Amino acid sequence: MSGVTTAEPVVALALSGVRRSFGGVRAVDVGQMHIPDGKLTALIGPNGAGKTTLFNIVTGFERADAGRWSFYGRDITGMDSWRVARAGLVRTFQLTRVLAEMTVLDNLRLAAAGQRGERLSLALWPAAWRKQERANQERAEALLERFRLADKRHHPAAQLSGGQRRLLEVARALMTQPRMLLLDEPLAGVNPALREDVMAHLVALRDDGLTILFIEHDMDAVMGISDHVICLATGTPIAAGTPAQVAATPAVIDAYLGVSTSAPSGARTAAPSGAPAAAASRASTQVATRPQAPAGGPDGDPVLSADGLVSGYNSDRPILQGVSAHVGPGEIVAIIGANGAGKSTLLKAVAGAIPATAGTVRLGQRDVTKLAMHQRVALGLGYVPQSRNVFPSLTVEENLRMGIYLRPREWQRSRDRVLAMFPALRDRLATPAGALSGGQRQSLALARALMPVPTVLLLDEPSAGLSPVAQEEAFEHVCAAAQSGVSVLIVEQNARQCLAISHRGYVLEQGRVALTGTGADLLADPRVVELYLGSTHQRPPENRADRLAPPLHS
Amino acid sequence: MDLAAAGVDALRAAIAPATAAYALAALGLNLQFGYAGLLNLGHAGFMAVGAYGLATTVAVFGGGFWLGVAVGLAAAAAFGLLLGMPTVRLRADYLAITTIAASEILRFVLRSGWAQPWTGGVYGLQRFAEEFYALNPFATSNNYAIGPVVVDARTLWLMVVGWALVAAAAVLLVLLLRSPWGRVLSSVRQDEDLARSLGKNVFAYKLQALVIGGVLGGVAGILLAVDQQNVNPDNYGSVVTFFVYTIVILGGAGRAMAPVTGAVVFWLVISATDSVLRQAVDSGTVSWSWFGPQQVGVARFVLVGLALMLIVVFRPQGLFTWRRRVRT
Repeated sequence: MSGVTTAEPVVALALSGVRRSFGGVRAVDVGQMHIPDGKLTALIGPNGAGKTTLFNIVTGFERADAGRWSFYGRDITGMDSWRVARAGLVRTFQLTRVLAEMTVLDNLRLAAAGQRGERLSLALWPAAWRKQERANQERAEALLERFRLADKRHHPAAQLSGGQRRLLEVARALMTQPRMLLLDEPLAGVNPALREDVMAHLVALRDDGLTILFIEHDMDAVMGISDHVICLATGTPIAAGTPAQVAATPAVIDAYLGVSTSAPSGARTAAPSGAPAAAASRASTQVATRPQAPAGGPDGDPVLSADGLVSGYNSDRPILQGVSAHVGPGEIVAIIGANGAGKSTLLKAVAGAIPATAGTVRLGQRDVTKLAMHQRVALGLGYVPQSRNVFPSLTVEENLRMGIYLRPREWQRSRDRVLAMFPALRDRLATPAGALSGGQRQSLALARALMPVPTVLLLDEPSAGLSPVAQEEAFEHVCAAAQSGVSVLIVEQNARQCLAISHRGYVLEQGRVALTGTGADLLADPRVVELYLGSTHQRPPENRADRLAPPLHS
Repeated sequence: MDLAAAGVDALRAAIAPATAAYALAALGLNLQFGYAGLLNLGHAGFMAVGAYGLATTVAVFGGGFWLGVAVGLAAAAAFGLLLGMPTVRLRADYLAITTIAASEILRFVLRSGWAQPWTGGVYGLQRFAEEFYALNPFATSNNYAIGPVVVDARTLWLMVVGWALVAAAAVLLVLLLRSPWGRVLSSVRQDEDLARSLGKNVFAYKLQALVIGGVLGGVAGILLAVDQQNVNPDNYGSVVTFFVYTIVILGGAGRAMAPVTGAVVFWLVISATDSVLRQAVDSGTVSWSWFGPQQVGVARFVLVGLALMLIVVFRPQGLFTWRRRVRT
């Protein structure tokens, strides 16, 4: 930006034409994006929108296929990550990274820029760096005071809680004296008490003149503290402006809840553009596309049930905090909820990919809580993970063969049955799966899972990262699978389309079931919109009261 | 069975110049592997480069001993740079494969016929350490007693020099690792991407660690060559690298002084088992037909291998470290 005048705001970070694809999936495709100087800018967007990939590209942790980006007018396209950091653009990571073996104080002292003692030629002459080290230590201690970590300064960083690790990350990034901070989900995994703290710190830093760009899924936080919001969907910015402007943009709501593409087109255009009302009215048009009630009826014995399931990746901080859910014969059951609510974790715990610390998982009558994943699969469970769900170096046919590896005699029959459901795969049997587009990969993953005719299929975001047409196809395939008699438990970011095809749904919030009901009920429930976009999302004041109403537990 | 004799043998091995050499090599490898996280499986190559730098300079080109030492150290540093530039960016497993390949290629080059004019081929090189032994301040006619161990003057002289080098290298490393430089190195091992995000040039630090560790390996190679007064390519096979790894792991990887205790204990145990097994065979205590004097040499390494497995399983932090490194 050479033509900056006093009237125009200074641009801290400018991107133009930045593109990046993984396989057939377009991860980032940004035409123009400007992050203003001295502002607190939020980068939002549904899962798989390319937010973290964009961070990685700008900070030199990943390459771009095309495009240029500059930092305060300086071209930093393709610069090494450590040089980007030295230029003053410092990032944090989505999963907190602390140097666990170092003390909290050393984590900070390490971060200081321009340390003479870090040069090999001077390291053995303490006289050359002792003074600087002392000054850095004072600065580190001051930051630790500011972030209320001072009493932990001599503890190994491994002993910090999740929230304290976030604070340490921010403090450590500040220690480098950056011009701009890129924070990847600074509130993820932070408990509510510390959450307010972190938010207050971000505002205070902005007031000190620091430019901040942060990715966040907590919409209350985004709407409450940011000056500027940019919303990405499938790698492309679809809205930018003040929090209120962005929240009122129909495209943003569609990005989070999914476009109601299967609705009759007249109903869509007729819907008023006021957001939640539009959501509800669009939702009501969906009922027509819902599949018929399953043959066994929802009252049949569940083929899969989870009871009080507690699980996560760290036994101290479980993600799932007692989730109970069940899937009846022939039912499609949706699990929806904001990012980080525990949707994928629930599927993983049910599939046996991660152990449950409490609660039970039953397949039919059988308790499989203690069984390994492959044993659950042998009992009729099918699981399609969110990503990396095909073998890229194997051909489509070989991938299908892997699905029925244990029963080679059924290969021919299963192959014909599945190819009848997925005719598009027939032309590509000899193509390596790695060369398929994103939508074709999802079809293949689903087809492979259907090879052995599972009793229940777990699908983790089958529409993530797909084009609208491919998304619709994916949902059609899910319906087809259910009509063939397979029960489906499906996790989806695209809540509208998913609920439209589901018999029932569960809405997760912070590891608990917040709402449950039939697909139609949930589609019409304004609280669903709120769970995705936060309570500051504009809504008529008289509706505020139902936020306080107890959730509709079944 | 004469356990006292076995004890003296073990003690002799524990303080021998060769043990000091292994301690130096292990100090270098510990910097690379324990601190920088570089899985260098070609450490024997660094030792060979140091040893041949000295031997070729003196025995082939008629240079002085100290010039030879300087050439050996410079060659080890150059080998580190050459090996490191293309490989330290690789993932740990690829680095391991390329370093072990490089050291084996080096060994085959050293023993090849066309390199014989400079390396002596399979016969190796001799007579390059006279100048060093001429500096011996101890009277050569005497033997010297260190506790129960009696050594001759030449051994004593090399022992003093060797352990002095170990002490100097250990002190330098401790100072280096306690400096901000060491702090960055530690961060590189724990989380490379994080170090990069804080503006640290990870590549440069890894390369520096590889070169410094490699030069220490070169010093070790020179010390071994002077002790044996002979360099031979087959003295620098991969088994040497694995001995050094055993020493580092025995002591506790990532502890500054651990390689020294590791080296002492390693050779103490090797020598003691050798002595005990040999006596058992000689005295007829062990009289299986398949177990004779030839098997003793192998059996002690089998025992050391077993011990190593037990240590890795039950005391991964090393035999002589009690404070566990914090892990997440």
